[in-house]
Amino acid sequence: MPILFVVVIAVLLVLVEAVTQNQFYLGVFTLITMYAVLAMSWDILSGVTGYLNFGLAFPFGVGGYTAAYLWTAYKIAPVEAIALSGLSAVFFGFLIGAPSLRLKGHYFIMVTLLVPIATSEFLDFALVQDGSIFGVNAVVNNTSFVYNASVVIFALTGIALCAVAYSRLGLVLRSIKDDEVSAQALGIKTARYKLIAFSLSNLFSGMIGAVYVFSNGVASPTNFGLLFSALPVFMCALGGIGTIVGGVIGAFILEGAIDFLRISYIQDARLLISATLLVVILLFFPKGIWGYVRGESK
Amino acid sequence: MSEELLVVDSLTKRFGGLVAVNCVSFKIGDNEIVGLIGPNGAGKTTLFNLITGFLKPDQGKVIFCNKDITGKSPAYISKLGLARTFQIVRPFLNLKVFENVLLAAMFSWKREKNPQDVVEGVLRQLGLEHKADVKATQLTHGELKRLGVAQAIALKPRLLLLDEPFGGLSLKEIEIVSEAIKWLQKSGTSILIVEHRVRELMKLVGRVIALDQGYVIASGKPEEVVNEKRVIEAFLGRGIDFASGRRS
Amino acid sequence: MTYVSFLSFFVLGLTLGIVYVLLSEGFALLYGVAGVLNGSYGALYMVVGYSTFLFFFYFKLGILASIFASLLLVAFLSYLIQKYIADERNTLDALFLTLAFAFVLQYLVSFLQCSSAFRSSCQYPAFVPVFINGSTTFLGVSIFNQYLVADGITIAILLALWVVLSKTKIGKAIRAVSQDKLAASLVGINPMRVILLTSVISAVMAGVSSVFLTSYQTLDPTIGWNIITLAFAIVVIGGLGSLKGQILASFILAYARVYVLLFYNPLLADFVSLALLIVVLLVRPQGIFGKEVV
Repeated sequence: MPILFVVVIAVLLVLVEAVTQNQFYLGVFTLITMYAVLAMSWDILSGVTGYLNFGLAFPFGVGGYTAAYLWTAYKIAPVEAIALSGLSAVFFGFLIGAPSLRLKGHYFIMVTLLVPIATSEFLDFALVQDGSIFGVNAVVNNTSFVYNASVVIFALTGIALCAVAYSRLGLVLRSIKDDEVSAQALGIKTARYKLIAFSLSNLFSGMIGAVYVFSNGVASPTNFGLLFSALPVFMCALGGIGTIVGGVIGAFILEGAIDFLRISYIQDARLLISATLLVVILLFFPKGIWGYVRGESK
Repeated sequence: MSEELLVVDSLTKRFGGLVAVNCVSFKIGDNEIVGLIGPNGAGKTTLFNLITGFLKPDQGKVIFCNKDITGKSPAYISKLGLARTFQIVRPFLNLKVFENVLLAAMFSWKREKNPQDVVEGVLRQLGLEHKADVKATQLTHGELKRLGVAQAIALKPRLLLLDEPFGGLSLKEIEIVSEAIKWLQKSGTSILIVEHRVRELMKLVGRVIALDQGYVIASGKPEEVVNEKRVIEAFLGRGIDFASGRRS
Repeated sequence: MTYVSFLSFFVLGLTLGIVYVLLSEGFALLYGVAGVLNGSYGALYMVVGYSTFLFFFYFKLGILASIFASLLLVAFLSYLIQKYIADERNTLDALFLTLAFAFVLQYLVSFLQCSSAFRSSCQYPAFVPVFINGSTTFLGVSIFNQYLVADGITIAILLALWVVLSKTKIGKAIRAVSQDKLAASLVGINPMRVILLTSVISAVMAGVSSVFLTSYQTLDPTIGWNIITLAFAIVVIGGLGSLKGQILASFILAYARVYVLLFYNPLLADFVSLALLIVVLLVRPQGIFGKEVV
């Protein structure tokens, strides 16, 4: 059922492009799709496996920088660059991830929160030294490519992650979230499974990070910004943690509804509204909207 | 030659000044059901923790299937076929009943090709088949205990350590669980059970080890151990009415 | 490093380190008593800066009154947070929620400062005014009097706190709750009230640090994150539950920052503490003198 949902959304998105060439709408939907991918990536590690990751901006930014670097230095075509960026995000994520997955809950949250901040501060410093930011202007004007790439990655992410989450592998991941000690006592090598979830999360974040850079024309330290770590979390909490598709719902509501509400006060306040919504939802609907719909209560 | 399945050799564990387990040695062979009794604080749970890797001993060895597993991790030990339930290890509360058993079957010692086939049978054995789709949090205490046993069975270990499986169960539930344990024994697993419900335990086991203050004070057939002076003293001294198996 | 610059390094690190102790202990105290990492700690720090600015420049209150009002404000906020958001939940949920609330505060301030609703305030960057002017020379190094007063007040607060915790009844209650909530409640202490009180103390400590640490910089809604990072870093590097370790760590991080600022590159100043923290967490999570196992 959830996979069906993803496919339907993907089809709808394709239809949108067929129907209108309005740059504004395409831009908004690209953004929504991007956040949906991030939200789903967050969910597989944090919602399903229970390791609350507050640093999704890291693989996102790494993917972006990798794409920019590959484009400018090696002239690699966008499609291959995107794929390679995903793998690069997995690799760098592994460097940080392997040791930090050992840590207890709140330490893990803090490490993941801080890694992107540290990276962006370091990049700020490094960039001033040699004065370069990667520019990828040639692709920027092709919004159609960006839109299509987003939709394709969205579909890939959604199908893959739903397949994992609702399969036996997903069951193992959920057992880790429920009681890691008992899982280990059953003989489950939890370290290995955590790493799988972590790598999946990084793969798709990295790929969509590459798309983001192609749509912006530039890779800069802001790609590691707190916003990219936080908003996907908000969206999953809104839609339903652990369901994968909840993040998609959340992305549409938070990013879509607010972008389409073209009242300037609300535009400026959209982050404030998102954050407040998050706190309210977490306080009163701990299972999010999708969880509520499924009739679950905490 | 039948090699012993489990050899515990001079196992000792201290917590500060207190010696919880004091030079305990015993063996368990294939297809045995062995009981472990003793008053509260005798060191039974600590002994379990030492054998299953949740605690490291200060002295002594644990040898399982001729491999030295002293101080190894619970996951490693479980993979070798030594499983344990209750106290530390418990069912997954946010997962459904059949999911709980399925997980155990998936990681069973003998790699099952179709784990889901095992699940149904096991659930039926423990009388849980109509609760298959229910989340574990919604089970009664007795059902939860039975679920733990179901997991242990699905795991098909070579040796199973049960820590007070009868606790809080009705007499009928104890019967169901006892039957399941006997079935498990017939299919090749050995079982070591810690229990306070001594009377019900005696009907199940072939051999009993009695522990008191960290020492093994008696070991042998149930009827013999039960009548040993030191054992009666240990229990009566703590206020256990031995004849009925209940605390007085 | 010349002799003069070494002295600068020594003195500046010292003055900074003292305030870092205050900052980190505010965080550690609440963690010790409530058992929860307060994700909003940095945000409260940030709010103090902004509200001081607001009270001083818009409501034309005197500087001391502005500071006092700001401290009251965050004390109240902290109380609310502790009572309604971080209450009985398990520690991860509480951390998560308080982090989310930190975002709320950040975006709220951001919105109030500069949005189409309040267009006029956009042009003026917010800052906390320096209220003690001039500088003194100590060991040949010129230090701002503001920092000297900061150190004096910080030491006074820390001493007062120490006295309260060890000699008074309420202090004993706080220590009891930090050791064992259940046991404390069994002897008639109300853990919830103690925790709420501690959260207020914690917020005031953050606020006082804020007033001094932000005084030579412009405010930004995002400074809270660097602060909570710093506080967390100090607590982790020093070791959970070890006051000695945390004091040592405060000075290590202060000196690291001053070193990078003076002799290397100002841009890397924040990165240094972050990098140190990440390394420690991955290599030796219990910190220098830590007792708790991760």
